[in-house]
Amino acid sequence: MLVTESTKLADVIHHNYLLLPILNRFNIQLGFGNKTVKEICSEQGVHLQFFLEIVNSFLDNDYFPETELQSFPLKYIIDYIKRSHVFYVEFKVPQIEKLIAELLEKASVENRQSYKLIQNFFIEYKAELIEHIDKEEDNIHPYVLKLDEAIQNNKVDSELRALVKKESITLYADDHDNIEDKLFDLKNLMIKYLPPTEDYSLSNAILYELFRLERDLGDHSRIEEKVLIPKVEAIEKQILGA
Amino acid sequence: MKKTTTIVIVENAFRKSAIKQFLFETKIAQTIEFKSSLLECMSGTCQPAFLIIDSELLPEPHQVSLDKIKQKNSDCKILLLHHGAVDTHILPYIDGHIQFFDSEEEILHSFRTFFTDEKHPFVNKMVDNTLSERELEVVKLVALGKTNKEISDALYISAHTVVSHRKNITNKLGIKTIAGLAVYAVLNGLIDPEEVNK
Repeated sequence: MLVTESTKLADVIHHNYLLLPILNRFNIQLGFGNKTVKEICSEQGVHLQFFLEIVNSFLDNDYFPETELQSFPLKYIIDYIKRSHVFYVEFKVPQIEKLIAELLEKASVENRQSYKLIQNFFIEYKAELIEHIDKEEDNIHPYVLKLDEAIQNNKVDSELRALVKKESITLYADDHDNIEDKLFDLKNLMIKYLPPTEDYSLSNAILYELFRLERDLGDHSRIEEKVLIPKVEAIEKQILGA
Repeated sequence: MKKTTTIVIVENAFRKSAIKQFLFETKIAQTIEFKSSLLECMSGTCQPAFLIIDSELLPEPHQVSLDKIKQKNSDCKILLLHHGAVDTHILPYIDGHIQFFDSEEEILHSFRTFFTDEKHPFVNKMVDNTLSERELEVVKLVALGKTNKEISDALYISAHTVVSHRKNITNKLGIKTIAGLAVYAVLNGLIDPEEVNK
């Protein structure tokens, strides 16, 4: 499915309900009747091309928009990424944490130690995820916004060129790998190796959430790698060439 | 789907962990569930492919209890754990027996024959994904946080071989990270939970 400005937003959600949290990141709330994407974006003050790009790249991993469609300011991407971070840290991860704690509470004596291992593993995962997010927000985002602002206001000076030479976004084009691997392992440990629990709906719930989180994070890194980084690289070239 | 569950009915923690260890050493991947009474396993949904039971927990008369299990689930193979000599009358009802005073070698042999009998050919297919002795040693050391260099020194193998073992382990287990392997190792009794924290 290719979402265009005239697609009804309700149809988009019927097509893939995993897009729901993405609507939240744009502050779009349910109850939108038969409105099209274009109508909703203009009502909510959401950049239409940017919205289409995010939604389409979520639905189709290989979707890659024409360059003219990428003409939105970088601060939109940064803003979107920050909102997803909030979703992971304040909502998704605590939700899974709570489910795992419940699993532990209900565990039989002989299973408790095994489930404790899973809990510790998730705590470790969470710490790594937060560290990664902090690193992005503290280092990469301010750098990107600075470049964006300079370009928008046509204020490229030697100081900025020196910064680009020193920092460069490619230094950050990095390591989601270990975090992704950990999530993959956690799923497999639960599916293949953990002693089963009596409360199967609880372990199912945990696995559903892990799968969803994995899907969302995968989309998140794709946006960083395919949209943010190429755009920043182009701006860096522009600055160094100016 | 074929049943590959093994149910072990033993009571005390000591025996439980000993059996876990032996089953692990037989390298036959199974879903193992521990129960503390036969009753728990006589419900409708419980259909193990293999049943290992301590004779102390098998209600008297043994013959009748065993017959009941077979009536309910004729495909289930039964291994009896016992103290003294085994009563010859019950031999037709069981597929193997182990005496608590058997030597380590005898016990391992009994477990292996019990699981790998022709009647259950799927067991052999599953062996493909179990780890070799060497791979088990590597998992253990990786889980303890050893580097490839340290592992190669400890096992007298080249660093290249360590890397290739690690690749095979990841493929077989579906676990990629060191932390994940540590959890696997503890779950399977390869290392002590306390050791991981060191």
